[in-house]
Amino acid sequence: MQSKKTEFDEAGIAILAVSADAPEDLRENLLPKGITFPLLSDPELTAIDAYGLRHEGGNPFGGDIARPALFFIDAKGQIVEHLLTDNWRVRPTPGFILEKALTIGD
Amino acid sequence: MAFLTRHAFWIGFLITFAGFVSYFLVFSRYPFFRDFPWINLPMTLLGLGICLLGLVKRWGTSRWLGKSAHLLGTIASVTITALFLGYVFGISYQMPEPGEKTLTLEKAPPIVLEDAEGDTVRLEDFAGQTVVLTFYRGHW
Repeated sequence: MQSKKTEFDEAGIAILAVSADAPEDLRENLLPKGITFPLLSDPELTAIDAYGLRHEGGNPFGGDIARPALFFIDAKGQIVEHLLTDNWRVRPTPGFILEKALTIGD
Repeated sequence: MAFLTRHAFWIGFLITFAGFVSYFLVFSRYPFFRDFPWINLPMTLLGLGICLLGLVKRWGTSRWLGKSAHLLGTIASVTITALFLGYVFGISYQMPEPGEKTLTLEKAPPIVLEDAEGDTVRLEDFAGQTVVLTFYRGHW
């Protein structure tokens, strides 16, 4: 998504990314890659559970993580659409996400 | 051709191995090659094919050392190819079905979490804007 960050910014669309990773993990592994949207750490899986996305035992080294998911939220905080993959390797492209986000609020 | 069959056990193995490793290190960064392993699947299969060819062609003429080498190379390539196919077409589908809760959400549940810098971020801070909220598996 970082590759289209400028386009998201210009359209006034915010990106938020949530994972079960600890803040130190995010700092060490993702910030050096130049990611400038907020990377939120949810080690207790509170937000992940609130959206019903817990993948029990999803971490091969033990523990629960989030299943991948995308939510498009409008200016009033309503979920307009969700995209849920059935295979964690297969995810929508940044371009596709941007196109979809641009249709929200029209 | 004779060179290829004589050295098939390591040439084939290297191609299979490179096909496996480069998926994770290189090609998984590119959506087209990640969503379906257009390069890595043919590579692993090609390497395996070369190993098998060597095994079949050299089995009759090789001594025990050559036989062992070709057998080992083939077994290693089969194992790596099976792991790759298992990951791509099996393991990566192993996820819970999205629950009723996820599918019926209307109002976005509040989120209050720390970001990588340790600052608290709230979803409601972005009210008035379109938000793309993404959940991902993470780095572990």
